[in-house]
Amino acid sequence: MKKTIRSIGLLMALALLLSACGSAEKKSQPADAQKESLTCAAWADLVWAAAGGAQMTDVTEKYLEKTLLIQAADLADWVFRRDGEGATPEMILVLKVKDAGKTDTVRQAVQDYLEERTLQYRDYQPDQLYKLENAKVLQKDDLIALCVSPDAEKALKAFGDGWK
Amino acid sequence: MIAALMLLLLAPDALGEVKKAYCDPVLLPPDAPMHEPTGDEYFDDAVFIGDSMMEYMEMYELLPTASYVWQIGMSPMSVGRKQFRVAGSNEKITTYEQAALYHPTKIYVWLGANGLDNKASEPVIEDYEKMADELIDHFPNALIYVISPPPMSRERMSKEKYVVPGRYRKFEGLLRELAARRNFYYIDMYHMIADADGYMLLQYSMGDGFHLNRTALSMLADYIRTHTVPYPEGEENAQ
Repeated sequence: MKKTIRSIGLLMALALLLSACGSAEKKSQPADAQKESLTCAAWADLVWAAAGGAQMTDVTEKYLEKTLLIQAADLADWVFRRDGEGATPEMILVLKVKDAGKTDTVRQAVQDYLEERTLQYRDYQPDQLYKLENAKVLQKDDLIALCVSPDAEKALKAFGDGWK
Repeated sequence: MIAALMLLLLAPDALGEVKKAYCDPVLLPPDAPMHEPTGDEYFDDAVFIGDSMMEYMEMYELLPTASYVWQIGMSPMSVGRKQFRVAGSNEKITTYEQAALYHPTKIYVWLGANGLDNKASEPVIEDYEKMADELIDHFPNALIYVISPPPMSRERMSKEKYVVPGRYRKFEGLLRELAARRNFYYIDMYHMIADADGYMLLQYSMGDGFHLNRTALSMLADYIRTHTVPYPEGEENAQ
């Protein structure tokens, strides 16, 4: 069911982008405008389709709270997917924070998690380390994102303008 | 002075005794009897301690009510040194402190794959002995289960060069003996996963010849569900 929802989400996200690309002269601006309405899952679909490698598994709320040390109740929407079949550090997460006052806290929690994960992989699987080292915690208004993928540049490009 | 000497002489270590875990007085370790699958409620107060493979157990929600304490690369040697972040503070706590937060009456340990990849079975079992002491000290009233680590695939072992199938086979035997000595219940994952030559069967590999895939982890969860020991009646959760 989750896979079906994800597939529909991906198709919708791609349809939005394709329609935007086809209908305007300046390709990037309309696409970015269309992205404003994306859900966290649609963001994840979009970015992972561009930059991803592994087959992903949606993690549970319990897993999210335990690994990021945040409360799911503080999020208006979220998606957190980990490499489910390939034993790599690949992941994508997009979190929409409910209360603007907590955005910095959530961003810091994701940053701490990335640093912890990077430290763990240093001795464990050094050949996978570059994926974590190249990954950046990004923010756009109330959205916080992290994409650990084989190609960080493609991921950044897929997020588009406004993320920093 | 004489009393102190007597105490020293009677200490378990001086007598060559080992610390033993709490166990069912009838269903004695190391073998847990096979039965119909137990429900999720058995795992409400169970903690699973392990490495990256335990992370996948948690991610797949194979035992959804259990609590998990894992870290990538964790080994019997490093388990006591690993640190866990605490929400809302800069404090860090140990693996055992993290596990204690869940007030477990059952503890499942699945470690050894990290360790056997670069050491022989004997030093790894020595690390396991030290970990056994720490586990019993921290959780004197918990039933403790230990799960044998899977071997690597043939291809992976040939790449590692210094790892041989016999190491895992030997460790499996040593771990069973340790379980009997320590009153741990033993779960033999090794023989579920290994072929006749002692390599991981490819159908259970996540692709890297080291981690187990969803099929294998589901098998393990099924085995765990059908090999439990009830927490002895009348005993309070004293963790």
